[in-house]
Amino acid sequence: MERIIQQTDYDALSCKLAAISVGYLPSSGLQRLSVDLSKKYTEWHRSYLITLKKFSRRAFGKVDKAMRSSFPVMNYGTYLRTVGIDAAILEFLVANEKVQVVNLGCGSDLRMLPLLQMFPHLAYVDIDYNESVELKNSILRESEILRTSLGLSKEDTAKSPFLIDQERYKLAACDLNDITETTRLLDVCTKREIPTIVISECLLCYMHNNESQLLINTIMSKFSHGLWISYDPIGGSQPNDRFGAIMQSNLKESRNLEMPTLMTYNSKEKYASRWSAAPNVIVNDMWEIFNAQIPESERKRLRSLQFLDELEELKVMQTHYILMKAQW
Amino acid sequence: MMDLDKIIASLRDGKHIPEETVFRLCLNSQELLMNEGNVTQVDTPVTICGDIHGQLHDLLTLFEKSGGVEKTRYIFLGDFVDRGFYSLESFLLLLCYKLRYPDRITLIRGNHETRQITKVYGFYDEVVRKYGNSNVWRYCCEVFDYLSLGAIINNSIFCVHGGLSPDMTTVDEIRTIDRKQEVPHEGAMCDLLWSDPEDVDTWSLSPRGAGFLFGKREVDQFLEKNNVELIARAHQLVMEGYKEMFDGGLVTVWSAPNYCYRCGNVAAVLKIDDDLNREYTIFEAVQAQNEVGNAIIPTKKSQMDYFL
Repeated sequence: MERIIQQTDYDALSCKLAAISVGYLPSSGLQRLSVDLSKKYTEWHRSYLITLKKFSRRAFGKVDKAMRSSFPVMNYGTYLRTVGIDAAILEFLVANEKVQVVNLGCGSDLRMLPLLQMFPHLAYVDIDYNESVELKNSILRESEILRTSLGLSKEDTAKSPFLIDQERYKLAACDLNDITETTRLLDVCTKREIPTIVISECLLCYMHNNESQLLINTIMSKFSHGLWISYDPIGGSQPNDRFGAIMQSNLKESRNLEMPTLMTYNSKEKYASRWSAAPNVIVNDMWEIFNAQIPESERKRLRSLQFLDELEELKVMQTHYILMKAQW
Repeated sequence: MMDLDKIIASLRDGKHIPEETVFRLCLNSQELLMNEGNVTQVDTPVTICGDIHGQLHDLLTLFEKSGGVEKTRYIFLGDFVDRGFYSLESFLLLLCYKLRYPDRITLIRGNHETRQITKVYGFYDEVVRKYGNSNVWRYCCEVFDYLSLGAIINNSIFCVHGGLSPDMTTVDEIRTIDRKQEVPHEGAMCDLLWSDPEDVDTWSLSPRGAGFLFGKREVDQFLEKNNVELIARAHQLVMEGYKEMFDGGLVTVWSAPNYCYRCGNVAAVLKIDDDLNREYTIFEAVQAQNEVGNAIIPTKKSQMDYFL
């Protein structure tokens, strides 16, 4: 199961690369990127893919192929997911001077690169399964522009429990199902009193209910102030809604991937109920975000990139993915 | 002469059709379609079908649930190809039926029946995967250029894939379009294939990037000016299979159940009888099975598209 879940990172990566290659991302407006950082955003991701080839031709082939055959409806969804999370992060970063970010199940995500350059007081921790972060470490150190952007050395010479152990950026291995291991890790690489952004982007959906609730509770009690940003699918709660059941069966059949709580937390409200300890919880589905938070100028830009053949399909899909923000 | 019944049997079994056979099918189809007007006249009773999108097994269910082409007259509102995994077989099956029973079946062009869209949405890739080259895709695209843009049933029901155009508000104007070309990015021909009905006061920009949104006012005007009582169109996924709007002046019919093997919707066809009564038949997706009844995952893709 662990390997099957890890491999979903290749899906996330190929989706993001597809959205970048067609021009959906970056969104200099919503991601608040300067001209220089917008250019780098594309270069960093391209370089990550090219460097991946050196470490796993198989993974590269898979990602490269999926990237080339991505449908516009997927590009829209990837765009919404990325800018939705980034906008939430940016809002908190602008409002707080010194912040630490903990990205749970980071996979190949590279959003730390622009953020670390934009916010000089930011500290950032990437955490994932050992195999995932080892690959990420190798790629970050091998690619010249990725290495330079982080100020990394090519060889890892430091004696550290982390794969990357810098003042402001840490990359660490951890099985987030193991709460003892997770707690021990967070004790060493984060500070309790600093306002903390916790990101879980398609992480909790693969965990069992007990483990995910324990992770939420433990982390929320660990940091005195924080913002938890979570992006996940929900099964749907309308009487005739079969999206979730079909999704479970498709994923099980095609790759033996399970989402144990998809139908338990099948609505926005039920999903958000897991953060009931937080005084301020906002949850939207991605269709609401598309309609309420993406300005018309931006939507016009998206329309000019590709013809969207089916808006209703976009709606069906995006009403089954949510973005939850819990502040405490 | 081609043995159409034999090709039909092969297609229904999902068997490979030789390139040469596809070429001749496409050539014969062009000859036949060339003689049709932009807006074909069709008599009742007739069954109107919406988007198919390469879901061959569901197309077979459609015929089964609605009488079959031997006994029933059909209008297909376009979007035969793309997205599903059997675009080629679905389109060829419809062409074979058209050649075999020319009066029984009318094919209207959808916004996916173009070179540009099929390159993005799967049909092109499917052909290359199945034949190792794109020849068969090119033969099919040549047929697309000859498909009608609409149909009119008993001078009372106007059928089109997408909707109306601000540039042409009468059926007679639509008859004057030079349709034998790739669908342009704008203008009446594009709008007929791309537009959508919506609760808008007047013509508005479409979020799809092509065509327009039109409202009750535009529909009422069209119905009155052309002396018809209904616009039947497809083009939009409807979870319940069909949706009437504007006091019954327009209907959307959708015939691809569980669209993209993912959406969980039901499908519908609309039968119009001699008194122009409307009767909807709803059907659900079936899982493709092999001879021993095991489910076949209908895909060469290693996975379904989800955000993971």
